[in-house]
Amino acid sequence: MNGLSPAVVTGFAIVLTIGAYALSLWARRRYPSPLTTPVLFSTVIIIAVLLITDLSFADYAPAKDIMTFLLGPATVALAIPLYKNRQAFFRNVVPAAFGLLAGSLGTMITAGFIARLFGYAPELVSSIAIKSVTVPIAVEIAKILHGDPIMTAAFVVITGMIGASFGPWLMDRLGITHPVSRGLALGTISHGQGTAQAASEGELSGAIAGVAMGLGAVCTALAAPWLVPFLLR
Amino acid sequence: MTQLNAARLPERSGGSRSRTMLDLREASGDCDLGWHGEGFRYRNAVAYLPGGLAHGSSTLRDDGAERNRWAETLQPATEAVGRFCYQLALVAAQLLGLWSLNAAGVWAVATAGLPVPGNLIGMLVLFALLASGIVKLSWFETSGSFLIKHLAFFFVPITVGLMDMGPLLAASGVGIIVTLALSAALGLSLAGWISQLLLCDTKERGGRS
Repeated sequence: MNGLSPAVVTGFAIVLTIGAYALSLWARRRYPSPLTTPVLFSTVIIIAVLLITDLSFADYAPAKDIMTFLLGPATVALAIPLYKNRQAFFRNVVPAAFGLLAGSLGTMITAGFIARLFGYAPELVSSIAIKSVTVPIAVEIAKILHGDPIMTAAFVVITGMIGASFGPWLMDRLGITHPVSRGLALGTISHGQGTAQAASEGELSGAIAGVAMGLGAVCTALAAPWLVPFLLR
Repeated sequence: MTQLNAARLPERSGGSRSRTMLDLREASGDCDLGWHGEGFRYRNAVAYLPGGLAHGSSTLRDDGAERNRWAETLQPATEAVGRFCYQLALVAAQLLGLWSLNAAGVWAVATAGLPVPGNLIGMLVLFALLASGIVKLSWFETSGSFLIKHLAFFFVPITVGLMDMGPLLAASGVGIIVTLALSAALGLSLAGWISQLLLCDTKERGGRS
């Protein structure tokens, strides 16, 4: 705590976060690469500064609560690009639906299977299997599956970071160039962070990613209570 | 007349919401052109106000010299303040609207006991309202577009929580990262590849609209 008052620490944390984010936007424009993805870049800077200044995540948490207050309204606002691109989406509804199902079920089964191979505890396997769902619902599914909500949130965030950072690179290598497919894959696998990444590629990708994030969450929520016990057997 | 002008300024900036080009034209003194040339929305709005049209036409024709003198000194400043206050109120109202939709979604989910995130319900409700024409896109566009553009920002404070996962990551971190990376790569490939395959089957590629 450094003996500082919580208000000062919170103010410092907010300024630090906004500053790191602004710096990451500049870095992404100047040196575009998976490593300058805003979430990854900003997080590394903030954790480094917090460690240097001897502040813990508990010190940072009040600032986090203030800054994520607008996350719910921001998710609601995803209806705006969705509405603007609704015709583009409905034109592609069949490919998108199949891609979404294959992506969200495929990643859940693979994650659970590999986690089993590593011999992790059932609690950890359940938490890993549902890592492609947006944080608020992943935590709820984790409770249903007797996973660990906090670990689940961490896995969700890491998956979001991996997908948003290296997903565009991977899809470039695989020749996945269609904005609908790119948005769909990013939103299905990397939820909000993937949607943010897709939105920076284009409004259509962002809109499709927003839909994929929502529908992928529903798909996983419905399938996980059946699939995960099967994986654990 | 100057009083009337001053009193109507917030309305005028209201008519020119988020139109930077027109705003610039107005600020450069081309006021009446910018205002009246702006399109139907504002003029229709004026027509419904009692006496609105009368004010509009008198502004246009009558008091030349006096109006110009005042217009040059008073108008830019007042207009800027009016526009700023209007934008501030607009953003606040839009955020309140989005927040209410989110809260309503969270409440509905909690009440019905559904395993679906409340903000997803809020998003679907806003989409339904937009699609049915009950809510207009312009009501939420200023704040909504800004929030979406900076959606990544809201995930940064959450990912900072990773700093507390040190012991777990040290124990089985590599395995967890491998699991997450492989499954993410496979999911991305499947979703992207299958959708693109079906997209190419049905129509030509590159359908960016």
